Amino acid sequence: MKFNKRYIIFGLSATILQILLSDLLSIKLIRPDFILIFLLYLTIWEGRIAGISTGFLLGLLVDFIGVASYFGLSALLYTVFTYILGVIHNKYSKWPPILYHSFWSLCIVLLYFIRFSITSARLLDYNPQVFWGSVLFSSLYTLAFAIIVLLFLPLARDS
Amino acid sequence: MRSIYFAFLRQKDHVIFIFALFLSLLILFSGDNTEIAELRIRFSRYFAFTKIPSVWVTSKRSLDLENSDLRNKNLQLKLLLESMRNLENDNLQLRSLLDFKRESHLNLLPAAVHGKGITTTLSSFIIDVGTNDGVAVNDPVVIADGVVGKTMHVGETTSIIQLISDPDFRLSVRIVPDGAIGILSWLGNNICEIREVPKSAKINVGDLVYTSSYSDIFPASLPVGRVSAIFDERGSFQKRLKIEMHYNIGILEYVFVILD
Repeated sequence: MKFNKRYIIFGLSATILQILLSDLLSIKLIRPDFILIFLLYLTIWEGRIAGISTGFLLGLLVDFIGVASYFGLSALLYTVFTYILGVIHNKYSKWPPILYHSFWSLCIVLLYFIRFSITSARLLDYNPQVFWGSVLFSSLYTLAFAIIVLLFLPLARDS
Repeated sequence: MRSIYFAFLRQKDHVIFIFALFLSLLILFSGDNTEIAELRIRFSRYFAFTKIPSVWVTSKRSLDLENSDLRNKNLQLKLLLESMRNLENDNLQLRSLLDFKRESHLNLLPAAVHGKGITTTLSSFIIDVGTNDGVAVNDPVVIADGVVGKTMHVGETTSIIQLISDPDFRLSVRIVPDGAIGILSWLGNNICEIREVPKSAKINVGDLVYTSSYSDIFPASLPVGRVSAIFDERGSFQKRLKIEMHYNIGILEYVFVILD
Protein backbone atom coordinates (compact mmCIF):
# COMPACT_ATOMS: atom_id res chain seq x y z
CA MET A 1 0.00 0.00 0.00
CA LYS A 2 1.52 3.26 -1.11
CA PHE A 3 0.10 5.78 1.30
CA ASN A 4 1.65 8.73 -0.42
CA LYS A 5 1.15 12.47 -0.06
CA ARG A 6 -1.53 12.49 -2.72
CA TYR A 7 -3.95 10.51 -0.55
CA ILE A 8 -3.33 12.73 2.45
CA ILE A 9 -4.00 15.83 0.36
CA PHE A 10 -7.02 14.22 -1.29
CA GLY A 11 -8.40 13.03 2.06
CA LEU A 12 -7.82 16.35 3.79
CA SER A 13 -9.44 18.23 0.91
CA ALA A 14 -12.47 15.94 1.04
CA THR A 15 -12.82 16.43 4.81
CA ILE A 16 -12.40 20.21 4.60
CA LEU A 17 -14.88 20.38 1.72
CA GLN A 18 -17.30 18.33 3.78
CA ILE A 19 -16.92 20.62 6.78
CA LEU A 20 -17.05 23.92 4.93
CA LEU A 21 -19.24 23.28 1.89
CA SER A 22 -21.70 20.54 2.80
CA ASP A 23 -24.02 23.06 4.43
CA LEU A 24 -23.92 25.46 1.50
CA LEU A 25 -24.65 22.65 -0.96
CA SER A 26 -27.46 21.23 1.14
CA ILE A 27 -30.75 20.69 -0.73
CA LYS A 28 -33.78 19.88 1.40
CA LEU A 29 -31.39 19.13 4.28
CA ILE A 30 -29.60 16.48 2.17
CA ARG A 31 -25.88 17.06 1.70
CA PRO A 32 -23.31 15.58 -0.67
CA ASP A 33 -20.73 13.25 0.88
CA PHE A 34 -17.24 14.20 -0.26
CA ILE A 35 -15.61 11.81 2.20
CA LEU A 36 -17.49 8.95 0.54
CA ILE A 37 -16.07 10.01 -2.83
CA PHE A 38 -12.56 10.01 -1.35
CA LEU A 39 -13.12 6.52 0.08
CA LEU A 40 -14.38 5.36 -3.30
CA TYR A 41 -11.09 6.34 -4.95
CA LEU A 42 -8.91 5.13 -2.10
CA THR A 43 -10.52 1.68 -1.99
CA ILE A 44 -10.53 1.21 -5.74
CA TRP A 45 -6.93 2.33 -6.07
CA GLU A 46 -5.40 0.85 -2.91
CA GLY A 47 -7.73 -1.98 -1.93
CA ARG A 48 -9.76 -3.04 1.05
CA ILE A 49 -7.28 -2.66 3.90
CA ALA A 50 -6.55 1.00 3.16
CA GLY A 51 -10.24 1.65 2.49
CA ILE A 52 -11.63 -0.05 5.60
CA SER A 53 -9.16 1.47 8.04
CA THR A 54 -9.46 4.98 6.59
CA GLY A 55 -13.22 4.62 6.23
CA PHE A 56 -13.63 3.58 9.84
CA LEU A 57 -11.50 6.47 11.13
CA LEU A 58 -13.15 9.08 8.90
CA GLY A 59 -16.56 7.70 9.89
CA LEU A 60 -15.67 8.24 13.53
CA LEU A 61 -14.57 11.79 12.71
CA VAL A 62 -17.89 12.50 10.98
CA ASP A 63 -19.74 11.14 14.01
CA PHE A 64 -17.67 13.18 16.40
CA ILE A 65 -18.36 16.39 14.49
CA GLY A 66 -21.83 16.63 15.88
CA VAL A 67 -24.39 13.91 15.40
CA ALA A 68 -27.21 13.77 17.89
CA SER A 69 -28.24 10.15 17.63
CA TYR A 70 -26.83 7.02 15.98
CA PHE A 71 -23.29 7.85 17.04
CA GLY A 72 -21.02 5.34 15.30
CA LEU A 73 -23.31 4.79 12.32
CA SER A 74 -21.05 6.62 9.85
CA ALA A 75 -18.06 4.50 10.92
CA LEU A 76 -20.14 1.36 10.42
CA LEU A 77 -21.43 2.44 7.02
CA TYR A 78 -18.04 3.53 5.67
CA THR A 79 -16.57 0.21 6.86
CA VAL A 80 -19.23 -1.82 5.06
CA PHE A 81 -19.04 0.42 1.98
CA THR A 82 -15.27 0.07 1.58
CA TYR A 83 -15.39 -3.68 2.25
CA ILE A 84 -17.93 -4.28 -0.52
CA LEU A 85 -16.19 -1.82 -2.83
CA GLY A 86 -12.96 -3.77 -2.38
CA VAL A 87 -14.39 -6.35 -4.78
CA ILE A 88 -13.57 -4.11 -7.75
CA HIS A 89 -10.02 -3.24 -6.66
CA ASN A 90 -7.71 -4.04 -9.60
CA LYS A 91 -10.67 -5.17 -11.71
CA TYR A 92 -10.96 -2.25 -14.11
CA SER A 93 -9.45 -4.08 -17.07
CA LYS A 94 -11.17 -7.37 -16.19
CA TRP A 95 -14.76 -6.22 -15.79
CA PRO A 96 -16.94 -4.71 -18.54
CA PRO A 97 -17.00 -0.90 -17.98
CA ILE A 98 -20.79 -0.78 -17.55
CA LEU A 99 -20.66 -3.46 -14.85
CA TYR A 100 -17.68 -1.83 -13.15
CA HIS A 101 -19.27 1.61 -12.94
CA SER A 102 -22.67 0.21 -12.04
CA PHE A 103 -21.06 -1.69 -9.16
CA TRP A 104 -19.61 1.32 -7.36
CA SER A 105 -22.71 3.38 -8.08
CA LEU A 106 -24.86 0.66 -6.54
CA CYS A 107 -22.51 0.55 -3.55
CA ILE A 108 -23.32 4.22 -2.92
CA VAL A 109 -27.07 3.55 -3.24
CA LEU A 110 -26.68 0.57 -0.89
CA LEU A 111 -24.90 2.73 1.69
CA TYR A 112 -27.77 5.21 1.74
CA PHE A 113 -30.30 2.40 1.79
CA ILE A 114 -28.66 0.94 4.91
CA ARG A 115 -28.38 4.41 6.49
CA PHE A 116 -32.06 5.22 6.01
CA SER A 117 -33.12 1.67 6.93
CA ILE A 118 -31.45 2.16 10.30
CA THR A 119 -32.43 5.77 10.98
CA SER A 120 -35.89 5.83 9.38
CA ALA A 121 -36.98 2.18 9.44
CA ARG A 122 -40.61 2.95 10.24
CA LEU A 123 -40.86 5.19 7.15
CA LEU A 124 -40.45 2.13 4.94
CA ASP A 125 -43.55 0.61 6.56
CA TYR A 126 -46.02 3.43 6.29
CA ASN A 127 -44.52 5.88 3.82
CA PRO A 128 -42.33 3.95 1.34
CA GLN A 129 -42.39 6.79 -1.21
CA VAL A 130 -40.73 9.20 1.19
CA PHE A 131 -38.25 6.51 2.23
CA TRP A 132 -37.21 5.58 -1.31
CA GLY A 133 -37.26 9.24 -2.33
CA SER A 134 -34.78 10.04 0.44
CA VAL A 135 -32.54 7.07 -0.45
CA LEU A 136 -32.51 7.88 -4.16
CA PHE A 137 -32.14 11.63 -3.80
CA SER A 138 -29.28 11.33 -1.29
CA SER A 139 -27.40 8.77 -3.37
CA LEU A 140 -27.95 10.58 -6.67
CA TYR A 141 -26.76 13.84 -5.13
CA THR A 142 -23.48 12.29 -3.99
CA LEU A 143 -23.23 10.33 -7.26
CA ALA A 144 -23.52 13.57 -9.22
CA PHE A 145 -20.48 14.97 -7.41
CA ALA A 146 -18.65 11.65 -7.85
CA ILE A 147 -19.24 11.86 -11.61
CA ILE A 148 -17.93 15.45 -11.68
CA VAL A 149 -14.73 14.31 -9.91
CA LEU A 150 -14.55 11.34 -12.27
CA LEU A 151 -14.32 13.69 -15.26
CA PHE A 152 -11.04 15.10 -13.89
CA LEU A 153 -9.70 12.05 -12.08
CA PRO A 154 -10.44 8.71 -13.74
CA LEU A 155 -11.01 5.63 -11.60
CA ALA A 156 -9.06 3.47 -14.05
CA ARG A 157 -5.75 2.61 -12.45
CA ASP A 158 -4.96 -1.08 -12.20
CA SER A 159 -1.77 -1.76 -10.32
CA MET B 1 0.37 -21.38 15.34
CA ARG B 2 2.34 -20.65 12.25
CA SER B 3 -0.52 -21.79 10.00
CA ILE B 4 -2.95 -19.53 11.92
CA TYR B 5 -0.58 -16.62 11.41
CA PHE B 6 -0.37 -17.27 7.66
CA ALA B 7 -4.14 -17.73 7.46
CA PHE B 8 -4.50 -14.34 9.17
CA LEU B 9 -2.10 -12.76 6.70
CA ARG B 10 -3.97 -14.27 3.76
CA GLN B 11 -7.33 -13.07 5.03
CA LYS B 12 -6.20 -9.83 6.64
CA ASP B 13 -8.71 -7.65 4.77
CA HIS B 14 -11.59 -9.77 6.09
CA VAL B 15 -10.10 -9.75 9.59
CA ILE B 16 -9.73 -5.96 9.55
CA PHE B 17 -13.29 -5.65 8.26
CA ILE B 18 -14.67 -7.83 11.07
CA PHE B 19 -12.63 -5.89 13.63
CA ALA B 20 -13.80 -2.48 12.31
CA LEU B 21 -17.38 -3.75 12.06
CA PHE B 22 -17.28 -5.00 15.63
CA LEU B 23 -15.86 -1.70 16.88
CA SER B 24 -18.47 0.34 14.96
CA LEU B 25 -21.32 -1.76 16.35
CA LEU B 26 -19.87 -1.44 19.84
CA ILE B 27 -19.76 2.35 19.49
CA LEU B 28 -23.23 2.45 17.93
CA PHE B 29 -24.78 0.46 20.78
CA SER B 30 -22.97 2.42 23.49
CA GLY B 31 -24.08 5.82 22.18
CA ASP B 32 -25.53 6.82 25.57
CA ASN B 33 -22.30 6.06 27.39
CA THR B 34 -21.37 9.11 29.50
CA GLU B 35 -17.66 8.84 28.76
CA ILE B 36 -18.31 8.84 25.02
CA ALA B 37 -20.72 11.76 25.45
CA GLU B 38 -18.02 13.67 27.36
CA LEU B 39 -15.53 12.96 24.59
CA ARG B 40 -17.99 14.15 21.95
CA ILE B 41 -18.64 17.38 23.81
CA ARG B 42 -14.90 18.04 24.08
CA PHE B 43 -14.47 17.29 20.40
CA SER B 44 -17.34 19.56 19.41
CA ARG B 45 -15.76 22.36 21.45
CA TYR B 46 -12.50 22.01 19.53
CA PHE B 47 -14.34 21.62 16.25
CA ALA B 48 -16.18 24.90 16.77
CA PHE B 49 -13.07 26.77 15.57
CA THR B 50 -13.93 25.91 11.95
CA LYS B 51 -16.90 28.24 12.17
CA ILE B 52 -14.88 31.11 13.67
CA PRO B 53 -14.20 32.95 10.39
CA SER B 54 -17.85 33.00 9.37
CA VAL B 55 -19.00 33.88 12.86
CA TRP B 56 -16.44 36.69 13.02
CA VAL B 57 -17.55 38.10 9.70
CA THR B 58 -21.27 37.86 10.31
CA SER B 59 -21.50 39.04 13.88
CA LYS B 60 -19.40 41.71 15.47
CA ARG B 61 -19.46 41.63 19.22
CA SER B 62 -21.33 44.83 19.94
CA LEU B 63 -23.96 44.23 17.27
CA ASP B 64 -24.27 40.67 18.43
CA LEU B 65 -25.28 41.63 21.96
CA GLU B 66 -27.80 44.18 20.75
CA ASN B 67 -29.11 41.75 18.18
CA SER B 68 -29.53 38.98 20.74
CA ASP B 69 -31.44 41.31 23.02
CA LEU B 70 -33.75 42.37 20.20
CA ARG B 71 -34.27 38.79 19.10
CA ASN B 72 -35.13 37.85 22.66
CA LYS B 73 -37.75 40.58 22.84
CA ASN B 74 -39.04 39.67 19.40
CA LEU B 75 -39.48 36.06 20.44
CA GLN B 76 -41.33 37.07 23.60
CA LEU B 77 -43.68 39.23 21.52
CA LYS B 78 -44.24 36.53 18.91
CA LEU B 79 -45.00 33.98 21.62
CA LEU B 80 -47.45 36.45 23.12
CA LEU B 81 -49.03 36.98 19.70
CA GLU B 82 -49.34 33.23 19.12
CA SER B 83 -50.96 32.89 22.53
CA MET B 84 -53.45 35.62 21.75
CA ARG B 85 -54.42 33.96 18.49
CA ASN B 86 -55.69 31.05 20.50
CA LEU B 87 -58.27 33.14 22.29
CA GLU B 88 -61.72 32.04 21.20
CA ASN B 89 -63.96 32.64 24.17
CA ASP B 90 -63.75 33.91 27.69
CA ASN B 91 -62.49 30.65 29.15
CA LEU B 92 -59.82 30.40 26.52
CA GLN B 93 -58.95 34.04 27.07
CA LEU B 94 -58.45 33.38 30.74
CA ARG B 95 -56.29 30.34 30.02
CA SER B 96 -54.28 32.24 27.47
CA LEU B 97 -53.67 34.99 29.97
CA LEU B 98 -52.25 32.39 32.28
CA ASP B 99 -50.20 31.06 29.37
CA PHE B 100 -49.00 34.57 28.68
CA LYS B 101 -48.01 34.99 32.29
CA ARG B 102 -46.06 31.77 32.10
CA GLU B 103 -44.63 32.40 28.64
CA SER B 104 -43.51 35.89 29.47
CA HIS B 105 -41.48 34.35 32.25
CA LEU B 106 -39.67 31.92 29.99
CA ASN B 107 -36.00 32.22 30.67
CA LEU B 108 -34.52 32.43 27.18
CA LEU B 109 -30.83 32.17 26.43
CA PRO B 110 -29.71 33.27 22.94
CA ALA B 111 -27.17 31.00 21.27
CA ALA B 112 -25.28 31.03 17.99
CA VAL B 113 -25.07 27.90 15.86
CA HIS B 114 -21.38 26.97 15.61
CA GLY B 115 -21.69 23.73 13.70
CA LYS B 116 -24.26 21.65 11.87
CA GLY B 117 -22.41 18.36 11.68
CA ILE B 118 -21.22 16.89 8.39
CA THR B 119 -23.43 13.84 8.04
CA THR B 120 -25.50 13.59 4.88
CA THR B 121 -28.70 14.56 6.65
CA LEU B 122 -28.98 17.50 9.03
CA SER B 123 -29.97 16.17 12.45
CA SER B 124 -27.95 18.18 14.95
CA PHE B 125 -26.51 21.60 15.75
CA ILE B 126 -23.59 22.59 17.93
CA ILE B 127 -24.34 25.80 19.83
CA ASP B 128 -22.01 28.13 21.73
CA VAL B 129 -23.62 27.83 25.19
CA GLY B 130 -23.22 25.15 27.84
CA THR B 131 -23.33 24.45 31.55
CA ASN B 132 -21.43 27.71 32.24
CA ASP B 133 -24.48 29.55 30.90
CA GLY B 134 -26.96 27.41 32.81
CA VAL B 135 -27.85 24.99 30.04
CA ALA B 136 -28.79 21.44 31.05
CA VAL B 137 -29.56 18.24 29.17
CA ASN B 138 -33.08 18.18 27.66
CA ASP B 139 -33.55 21.95 27.63
CA PRO B 140 -35.93 22.97 24.82
CA VAL B 141 -34.43 24.88 21.90
CA VAL B 142 -36.71 27.25 19.99
CA ILE B 143 -36.86 30.19 17.63
CA ALA B 144 -39.66 32.69 17.22
CA ASP B 145 -41.32 30.52 14.55
CA GLY B 146 -41.31 27.28 16.47
CA VAL B 147 -39.61 24.38 18.15
CA VAL B 148 -36.11 23.56 16.88
CA GLY B 149 -35.09 20.66 19.14
CA LYS B 150 -33.62 19.94 22.55
CA THR B 151 -30.16 19.82 24.08
CA MET B 152 -28.77 16.31 24.06
CA HIS B 153 -25.18 16.60 25.26
CA VAL B 154 -24.06 19.64 27.21
CA GLY B 155 -20.46 20.69 27.78
CA GLU B 156 -19.09 23.71 29.61
CA THR B 157 -19.18 26.06 26.64
CA THR B 158 -20.89 24.11 23.86
CA SER B 159 -23.90 21.84 23.52
CA ILE B 160 -25.15 19.39 20.93
CA ILE B 161 -28.79 19.85 19.98
CA GLN B 162 -30.95 17.03 18.73
CA LEU B 163 -32.98 18.72 16.00
CA ILE B 164 -36.61 18.13 15.21
CA SER B 165 -35.26 16.67 11.92
CA ASP B 166 -33.52 13.83 13.78
CA PRO B 167 -35.29 10.53 12.99
CA ASP B 168 -35.37 9.75 16.73
CA PHE B 169 -37.02 13.02 17.77
CA ARG B 170 -40.64 12.86 18.99
CA LEU B 171 -42.85 15.70 20.21
CA SER B 172 -46.26 15.66 21.84
CA VAL B 173 -48.39 18.27 20.06
CA ARG B 174 -51.89 19.77 20.20
CA ILE B 175 -53.85 20.75 17.09
CA VAL B 176 -55.80 23.99 17.49
CA PRO B 177 -58.76 24.65 17.56
CA ASP B 178 -59.88 21.01 18.03
CA GLY B 179 -57.41 20.37 20.81
CA ALA B 180 -56.56 16.85 19.63
CA ILE B 181 -53.23 15.48 20.78
CA GLY B 182 -50.74 13.55 18.65
CA ILE B 183 -47.11 12.55 18.34
CA LEU B 184 -45.01 14.50 15.85
CA SER B 185 -41.99 13.13 14.00
CA TRP B 186 -39.91 14.32 11.04
CA LEU B 187 -40.65 13.15 7.49
CA GLY B 188 -38.17 15.21 5.49
CA ASN B 189 -38.12 18.37 3.38
CA ASN B 190 -39.53 20.60 6.15
CA ILE B 191 -42.52 18.29 6.54
CA CYS B 192 -43.43 16.52 9.76
CA GLU B 193 -46.05 13.93 10.48
CA ILE B 194 -48.44 13.62 13.40
CA ARG B 195 -49.67 10.16 14.31
CA GLU B 196 -52.00 8.77 16.96
CA VAL B 197 -54.61 11.49 16.39
CA PRO B 198 -58.12 10.18 17.17
CA LYS B 199 -60.27 9.68 14.07
CA SER B 200 -63.08 11.63 15.74
CA ALA B 201 -60.98 14.81 15.88
CA LYS B 202 -62.26 17.60 13.63
CA ILE B 203 -59.13 18.80 11.92
CA ASN B 204 -58.82 20.96 8.81
CA VAL B 205 -55.94 21.87 6.54
CA GLY B 206 -54.43 25.09 7.87
CA ASP B 207 -55.04 24.31 11.56
CA LEU B 208 -52.17 25.36 13.77
CA VAL B 209 -50.03 22.94 15.75
CA TYR B 210 -48.57 23.73 19.17
CA THR B 211 -46.69 21.77 21.78
CA SER B 212 -49.06 20.03 24.18
CA SER B 213 -48.99 20.20 27.94
CA TYR B 214 -48.07 16.50 28.17
CA SER B 215 -44.38 16.94 27.47
CA ASP B 216 -41.87 16.78 30.31
CA ILE B 217 -39.41 18.81 28.26
CA PHE B 218 -41.31 21.39 26.21
CA PRO B 219 -43.62 24.02 27.69
CA ALA B 220 -47.15 24.00 26.25
CA SER B 221 -48.29 26.31 23.42
CA LEU B 222 -44.99 26.75 21.60
CA PRO B 223 -45.73 27.03 17.87
CA VAL B 224 -44.70 24.02 15.76
CA GLY B 225 -46.32 24.28 12.31
CA ARG B 226 -49.49 24.14 10.27
CA VAL B 227 -51.55 21.15 9.06
CA SER B 228 -50.99 20.68 5.31
CA ALA B 229 -52.68 17.31 4.69
CA ILE B 230 -54.94 14.85 6.52
CA PHE B 231 -55.03 11.09 5.97
CA ASP B 232 -57.78 8.85 7.33
CA GLU B 233 -56.24 5.42 7.68
CA ARG B 234 -58.58 2.59 6.80
CA GLY B 235 -59.09 0.01 9.49
CA SER B 236 -57.51 2.30 12.05
CA PHE B 237 -58.93 4.43 14.84
CA GLN B 238 -56.38 7.11 14.13
CA LYS B 239 -55.68 9.91 11.67
CA ARG B 240 -52.36 10.84 10.17
CA LEU B 241 -51.50 14.50 9.53
CA LYS B 242 -48.80 16.19 7.53
CA ILE B 243 -47.40 19.36 9.05
CA GLU B 244 -45.58 22.14 7.29
CA MET B 245 -42.98 23.89 9.42
CA HIS B 246 -43.04 27.70 9.68
CA TYR B 247 -39.29 27.94 9.05
CA ASN B 248 -36.39 26.33 7.22
CA ILE B 249 -34.27 24.49 9.75
CA GLY B 250 -31.27 24.36 7.43
CA ILE B 251 -30.60 28.09 7.45
CA LEU B 252 -30.80 28.84 11.17
CA GLU B 253 -27.83 30.70 12.62
CA TYR B 254 -29.30 31.68 16.00
CA VAL B 255 -31.56 29.82 18.39
CA PHE B 256 -32.85 30.21 21.94
CA VAL B 257 -32.48 27.73 24.76
CA ILE B 258 -35.30 27.77 27.31
CA LEU B 259 -33.64 27.45 30.69
CA ASP B 260 -35.36 25.89 33.69
